Amino acid sequence: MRRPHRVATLVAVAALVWLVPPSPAWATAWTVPVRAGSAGLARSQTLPVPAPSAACQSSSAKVIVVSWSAASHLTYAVSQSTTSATGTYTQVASGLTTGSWTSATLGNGNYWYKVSGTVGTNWSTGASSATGESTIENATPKCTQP
Amino acid sequence: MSTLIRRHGRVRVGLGIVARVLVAATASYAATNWVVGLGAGSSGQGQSATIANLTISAVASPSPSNLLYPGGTGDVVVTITNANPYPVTITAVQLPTNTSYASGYTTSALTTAQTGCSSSTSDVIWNYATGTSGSSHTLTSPLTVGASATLTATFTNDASMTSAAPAACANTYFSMPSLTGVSATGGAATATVSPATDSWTS
Repeated sequence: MRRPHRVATLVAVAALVWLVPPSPAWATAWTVPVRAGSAGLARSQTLPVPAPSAACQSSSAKVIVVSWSAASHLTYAVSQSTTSATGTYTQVASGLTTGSWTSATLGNGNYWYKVSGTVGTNWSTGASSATGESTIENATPKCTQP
Repeated sequence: MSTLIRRHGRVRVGLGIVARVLVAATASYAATNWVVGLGAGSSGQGQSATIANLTISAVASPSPSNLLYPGGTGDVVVTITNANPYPVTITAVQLPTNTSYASGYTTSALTTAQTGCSSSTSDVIWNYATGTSGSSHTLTSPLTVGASATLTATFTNDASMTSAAPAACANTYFSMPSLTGVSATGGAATATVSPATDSWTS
């Protein structure tokens, strides 16, 4: 009598296990479809064109300081003209990461400056508008902005 | 009479075994971690009705703090919606390839395309994406989305822009390429406070 009961019990247990529906809890991995376009939002920084200004370092020095508001991650170049605001510009500094550049001691004459910023291969602010005219001369003040 | 007693005893033994099986099954249901993966665009796959999809969407707020620039990385902001009646804890994300670019838009509404900054030109990808689709990247801290809840999260510096990105992609909002999946465990857990900050760093 005992053996048939044991068999019946085992059959009952097996049936119970078989009848319990598969549950996610019993799986080790699930793949669930996701709606197309499930992602996120990122944003890139602006590429502001510099608006430089020029100032004399002092009235007794033949030195000009060019300043602008630097944007993050950009490197800047400064170009100089000695003929006019719309004249030909020659680059005098590059790789600047701050918003200021100080010239070396300059010869007598008039000076205008433009600044441009770059980052990466293709991002460039383009040249800024020209600074106001700065004049260097021997008489004091040796540097003026008319 | 003694036969009847023995039968009753055996019935009790059988019921005891059945009860133990039920207890074990219940404990298994409660304690087992479920791994939930998300397959991009695979909405036709069969699945158990007991697990609903996690939905991950772009969101404009909070605004990303770290902005993309050529050769640099930036934040990605998402909302994760869990429609399931239990918390789900995300432990890793699976990324598309490193040639799957984000699409550029003029505003955070992501409705007007940015000219010259499309998904074929933007050079904006998920950071640490590889040449193989589905590469898995473990989150610094697991993110738990509560039952039938939404979690907003910022993935710090997990978007990347190559140095060759076009200038047209400056001052642009990006809809990142679709994730190919996430790894998640389901079950009792305390929901992460929204908005959260997280990342993967390799």
